[in-house]
This record gives sequence, structure tokens and C-alpha cells, in this order.
Amino acid sequence: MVLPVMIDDAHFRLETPENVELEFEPAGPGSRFCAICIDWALMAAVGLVVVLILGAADVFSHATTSSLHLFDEHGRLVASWTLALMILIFAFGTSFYHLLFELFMHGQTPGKRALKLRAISDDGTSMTPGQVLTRNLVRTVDFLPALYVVGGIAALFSRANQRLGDHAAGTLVVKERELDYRARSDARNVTVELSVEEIANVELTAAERRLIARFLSRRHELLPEARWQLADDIARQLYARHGGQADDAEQYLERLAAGVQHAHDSVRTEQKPQ
Amino acid sequence: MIRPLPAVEALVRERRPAWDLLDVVVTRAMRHGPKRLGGLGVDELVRLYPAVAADLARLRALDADDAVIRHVNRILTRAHAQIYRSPRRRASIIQFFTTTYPRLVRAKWRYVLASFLISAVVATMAHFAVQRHPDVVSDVLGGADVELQGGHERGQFEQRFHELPSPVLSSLVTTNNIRVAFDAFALGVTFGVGTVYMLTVNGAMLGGFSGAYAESGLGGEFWTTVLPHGALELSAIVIAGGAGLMIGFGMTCPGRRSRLRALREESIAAVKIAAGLVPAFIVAGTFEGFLTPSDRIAPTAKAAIGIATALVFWFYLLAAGRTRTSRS
Repeated sequence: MVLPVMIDDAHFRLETPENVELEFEPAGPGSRFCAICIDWALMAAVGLVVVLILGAADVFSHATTSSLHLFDEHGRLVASWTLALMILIFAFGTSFYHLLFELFMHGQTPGKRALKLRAISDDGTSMTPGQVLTRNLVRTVDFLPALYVVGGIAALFSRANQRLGDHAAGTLVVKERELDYRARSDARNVTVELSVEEIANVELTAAERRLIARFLSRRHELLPEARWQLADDIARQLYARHGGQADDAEQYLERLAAGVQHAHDSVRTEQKPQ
Repeated sequence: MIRPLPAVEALVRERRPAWDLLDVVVTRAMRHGPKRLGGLGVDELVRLYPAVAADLARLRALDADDAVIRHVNRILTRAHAQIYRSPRRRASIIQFFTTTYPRLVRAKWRYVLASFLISAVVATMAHFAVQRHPDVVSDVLGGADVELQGGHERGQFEQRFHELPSPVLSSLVTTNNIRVAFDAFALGVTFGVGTVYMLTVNGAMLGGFSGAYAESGLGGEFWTTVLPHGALELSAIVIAGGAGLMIGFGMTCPGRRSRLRALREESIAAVKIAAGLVPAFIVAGTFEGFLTPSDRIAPTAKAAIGIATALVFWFYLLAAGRTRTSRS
């Protein structure tokens, strides 16, 4: 079995038999909790419908049987069976909910699907039925004492945010974001008109270029504090190597990026006449 | 913004249809199952997957835009999950219950024995503690003694089982016992502490009640009411507890493995032990709802049926799935 190798605090890398590395991004506790909230809402809604239907059946049976003087015998029987059914549904409904959805929706529940999360085996394949069963049986322990406190703490100490059930089953929940690179460029708004001469010819390494690109493309998702902090950290490191001028860290990064583009454009214009 | 390198742009333009096609095929395979893809679909999947994997490698080598790499990576991870599966035999349920399950339980008999001893010792202690010092009833039984008060009158105990309609009682007790058993299993991840706790509480309840009833001279009624369903049910709880202890022991003494690895490896076998108990619980729950409260069958006959069922269950665990060659 190939175990994924962690490449930074947010990604796992798995080498396939084709010698190509695939990346998995473990989902954070926040998005997982949002997913479970959606699942709870759905379960509550279904539970309500079940209660209403069974209640209606109960009332209906009473109404029809009482006129036939069968109320005592028949009515009580129906009532006790509906009650028994309700007890079973409520005791195991939540367990079966996760179990069945994760079995038949390839590691997803409606909540996970809404947040584009998926539970997979930690060798990158889809979960086996045994794994689905394990992670969902241990769910009750992760839930203790309330609202997944144990699971949350376990996730804090885990490299892939795995709760105890994930550790036991050898599974992890990954992000499966639909990320089209064309859609992304619309979301990005480069507002600053740049005067780029002074850093136009900076030679960035590939890793630096990627770092800047990744930051610029995802900065809108960050909280302001984190965004400034991160921009500052990145800019400081780059400034130490490349120098240049800018009013603030993000502008500096934008200029560096634009400088690279400028360089590419000039490469392109040189190529065109040929 | 950083525009893709010309080579990357050309690659994207050229290969994008293949990526989109693989995406479509994989989505279909996930939605309807790989079997419904048909020969052509499978051919496409098998043809496209290595090609797109090569594209990803090239994109990485060309140092392409992060988003492009992630896009292709996403399609490939999903395709990977469809093509490669963890090696597993498609074991049938029949085979699981005729051979795999009893063999597994026998292989792990030490944990089952430990679980039984914990339950039995605690139950015996609780029994005599309550019998000799009736004032400790509330300590041993906790909140359950509220139920017990007034239950000392002859017939009251049995009455409890008559008041509730059979289906209701059956589902109530079955759900409770399945919960106890599966929680005893799952709490193995607490290094076994939670499992021992569950077994202790369960044993104390049983011993405490039997002691209290014996003290009031109702011991016979107690056992004829508990045994019809309880013999099988308690057996199942003991085995589930054994599965929990197995995980707990693996985590406490992992040997050369890391504790997380031990947890995972023990869990794979332990979950099978727990899952195989479901039929036993269904049988026990049915007995509890319909046999225990029945007026038509003599109490001793009911208890005998219960004990016989449990004996059959243990005989099955000890004898089933043995091959002649392995008998030694």
C-alpha cells in the first residue's frame, strides 16, 4: 500500500503506479462541521416527515377501526407497531444515514456534497464497506461529550485533520473543489495600474513564481488579518532577494507578478516576427 | 497576473478535450457504477487515464499555472479512485457467516475471554454486594434503582414486561443493547478504557438487579425473565466488548507499530467482529419482545429456550468454518 506523503501542512501527495503524483487536500474542521450541520438539518427534516406520516397513519387507523368496534384490538396493534418503527428509525436513523450515503455516494453525504468534500481511503482509492462501517461506528466516540469535541481535538493532533474514526478506518476527508482555471481569472481583479520598470527584469525562480501566483489567486478567500500577514511574510522574503519598490506588500507581489508577465510578453513579441 | 507560458498554453489547448472527456466518463462511472459504463466507456477510461496522468506530469515539468495543475489533478484523483481499488475479494455474506466470522472470533478468543471475565467478575461482585448490603443498591445501580423501587413486590418485575406492547419493547431493548455493544466496540479507541467502563456498567447492572431480586426472594423470577433474551444478548455484548479490548490493547501495546497504525490494523479485524453480531441482536430483540412476555409458555421453558439459543450461538462460534485439515 502506498501511503500519501505530506508535502506541506495542507496537502498530501500520492504517487500512482504511473509515477504521477496526485495531490489531495484534507478538509479542515470548519468545512467538515458545516457539512455535518447540513446533514443534521436534513435528518431533522426527514424525521419530521416520518413522524407526521406515521402519526397520520395512526390517527387514520383509529378513525377507521373505531367505527367497526375494532378499536381496542386492531388500533392498539397498529399504534404499537408504528411506535416500534419510530423507535428504530430514531435510534439508527443517524447511523444509517451516514452509513448508506457514504456507501452509495462514494464517500459523500448530502452535506459533504454541498461543501465539495469526500471521504476516501488514505491510499487514494474509494473506501471499502468495512472502512465506511468503521469510521461511522467510531463516530459516536468522536461525538463525545457533545458536538464532536473528541473528534475535533483528535483532528487538531492529526496531520490530515483525521478524527478517531478516520484513524481507525484509515480514511480521510478531502476537498474536491471544482476549480476551473478560466473561471478563476474572472474572480481576480488586478486594480493597480503598475509602473513596473524597476522590477520588470527580476528573475524569479519557478517556486517563487508559483508562490506568488498561489497567493494572488487565493487572497480573496483569506481573512484580512491572515491575508496581510501572509502577504507581508512572502514579500519580505522576496524583497531580501530581489529588492524593488512598492507601497505595501500586496502591491509589491502584484508588481513582481506583472514583471514576470511583462518579461513573458516581451519574449512573445520577440518571437512573433519570426 | 502571470500568464501561462506559451508551451503550457498550447498543451492546455490541445489536451483540454481529453481532460473534459475523462471528467465526463469518471463522473458517469461514479454516478452509475463502473459496471454501467459499458465496454466502450471502460476502454475510454483505461485509454484516457494514463494519457491525462502524463499530461499532469508534463504540466508539472513545464511549471504550469497552479490552477491548471489542480484542475487536472482533481480529474485524475477521481479517475484513480475508480480504476484502483484496495485489493479485496468480493466475499459473500454467506461465506462471511459460515467461515470468516467464526474463525475470526476464535482467533481473537483471548480478548473475548477477557471481556467475559470483566463482565462476570463485576456482575458477581455487584450481586453479592447488593445482597449483603441492600443499602448499596443505589450506588451499584445508579439511576436505575428508581425503576427498582416497588419492583420488589412479587410479580411487579414481570409486570414491567407485560405493560409495554411487544413490538415497542422489542425495538426499545434491541436498540439499547446494540448501542451498548457497538459503543463498547467503538470506545476501544480510548485505549480500551471506555470499553472496560461499558462492560463494568453493564455487568454491575446485571449483578445488581439479580442481587436485589434474590434478596427479596424473587431470584427465580428475575432469571426466567432475563434469560430468554438475555443469554444471547449478553453473549453478543461480551464479544463486542472483546472487539473493543482488541483495539485498546493494540493501541496500548502496539509493539513495533506506531499507535495510529496499530489502531488502524486492529480496527480492520475488530469491526468485522462487531458487525457480525447484528443477526444475534435481531434474534435476541425478537425474543425479548415476543417470547419473554408470553403467557402461553412456562417461565422455565422460556429460560431454557434462551439458554439453548445462546449455546447454539457459542457452538457455532467454536465449530463453524473449521476445515478437516486445520483441525489439530
